[in-house]
Amino acid sequence: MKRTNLSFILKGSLKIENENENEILFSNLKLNINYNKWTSIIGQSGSGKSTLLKIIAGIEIPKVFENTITCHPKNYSFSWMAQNDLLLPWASVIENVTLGQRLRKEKLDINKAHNLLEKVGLNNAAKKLPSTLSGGMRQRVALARTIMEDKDIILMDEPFSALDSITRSAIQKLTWKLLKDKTVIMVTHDPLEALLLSNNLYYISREKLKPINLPISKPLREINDENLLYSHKHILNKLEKSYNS
Amino acid sequence: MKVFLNYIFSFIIFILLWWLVQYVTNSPSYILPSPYKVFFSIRDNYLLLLDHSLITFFEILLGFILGILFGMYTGILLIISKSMRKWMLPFIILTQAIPIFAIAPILTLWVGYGIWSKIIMTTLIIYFPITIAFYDGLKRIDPMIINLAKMMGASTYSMLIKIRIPFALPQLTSGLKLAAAFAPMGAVIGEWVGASKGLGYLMLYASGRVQIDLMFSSIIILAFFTILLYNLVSFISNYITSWDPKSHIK
Repeated sequence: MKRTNLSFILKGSLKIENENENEILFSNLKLNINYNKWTSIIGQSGSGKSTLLKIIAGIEIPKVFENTITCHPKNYSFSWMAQNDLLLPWASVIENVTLGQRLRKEKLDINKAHNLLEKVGLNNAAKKLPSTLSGGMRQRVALARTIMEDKDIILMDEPFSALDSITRSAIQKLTWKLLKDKTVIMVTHDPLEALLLSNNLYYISREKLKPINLPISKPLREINDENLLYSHKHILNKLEKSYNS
Repeated sequence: MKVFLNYIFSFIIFILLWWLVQYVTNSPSYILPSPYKVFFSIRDNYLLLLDHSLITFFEILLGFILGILFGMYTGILLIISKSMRKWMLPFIILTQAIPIFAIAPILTLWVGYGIWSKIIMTTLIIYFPITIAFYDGLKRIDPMIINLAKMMGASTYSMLIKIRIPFALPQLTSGLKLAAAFAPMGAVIGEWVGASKGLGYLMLYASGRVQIDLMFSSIIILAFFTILLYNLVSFISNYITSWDPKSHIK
């Protein structure tokens, strides 16, 4: 891992084609990513959060660009954790965790995989198929698979949004505990989730990425933290204004 | 065991219906022989039927295997090559517009009266369902899984073997089951057009000599082959897609 902070800059506009006309999704973006910190991006549905994450990863290069990305973090490797666990249904839990090594035909590090499964509390489920697991367990397998890859930057696309609130809270804490020293970029539509877990926070508004001040306390913040609740209210107001405009 | 009992039950119902129709219409045996007459025909001609059945069974099996291999190969070509998709897919669909009966005499002319024209007919008749089912399966994969594999550094080959093909198996097995039902038709059509062996040939032979009971015997053996092949394919399909219970026929 290169021990430097990095900036992702998108010069020009990214347009999406909708029924009526070309709508500008965002333009002239700059996202500062701090090394070994959690950076979150919030925004309403359809604001282009996931698209931005895919562009950062280099897996989606939109066709309708006025200009091109000028500073792409090309030298960095990424791992991906999504709302959908993306587990292979025919492969056992341990096979899913070691998927990257199997795809690259590397020697399998089964001990590391078992250690990770133990950390996420699923060592007893190593030989089970994903279909036999609950949503929360499947997401924990996805988390173990993500950590197993040990990439420079972890991209998370609403990783907890498909979970019920109790499971979500437990997995948020577990994920933060296991990834607190990693460089993480997470997009979410839940401001509270972003406030609980992030070191840096941005929101997409009117085609721009705008930074949001976070409470002084460190993540993983307490849900009853007064500053956090105040920030939450403040963000909701901002989002509401942005939505109405 | 349950499946076997279901087939026995269906067979008994079929025989009873057949008997009923024959009894009610009082059809002469050269129009509709009774089940017992056909049963005796199978017993009396079992060596003849066995001789012809083995040929047809071999044609069906070899044609089926070749159809699967060619169909899967084409499905893979279609998914990995954009130009193949552009040029080959319309061509494959176009070939299905030509009636298989029209191809049979041409194949006999080109390949001869031997078993190969029948094997090719069987291959041709199942090639389309296999190709389309497999291609459809390869295509339906969640693009984020492909992206995830790319981020993990998967090569095109390992992506195909370890991600795309396993994902396409439920779709492929649907095509295989369809193909198992169609394959015997290909072999028999080939034999009708020109052959000196096989159940299709025996049907024509028996029909020409008004041995309708022998013709029915051939049909029953052919139906038995179809059921056997279908169940064999279903068994293998259920095994290789055991992780996807939705694709299993209960």
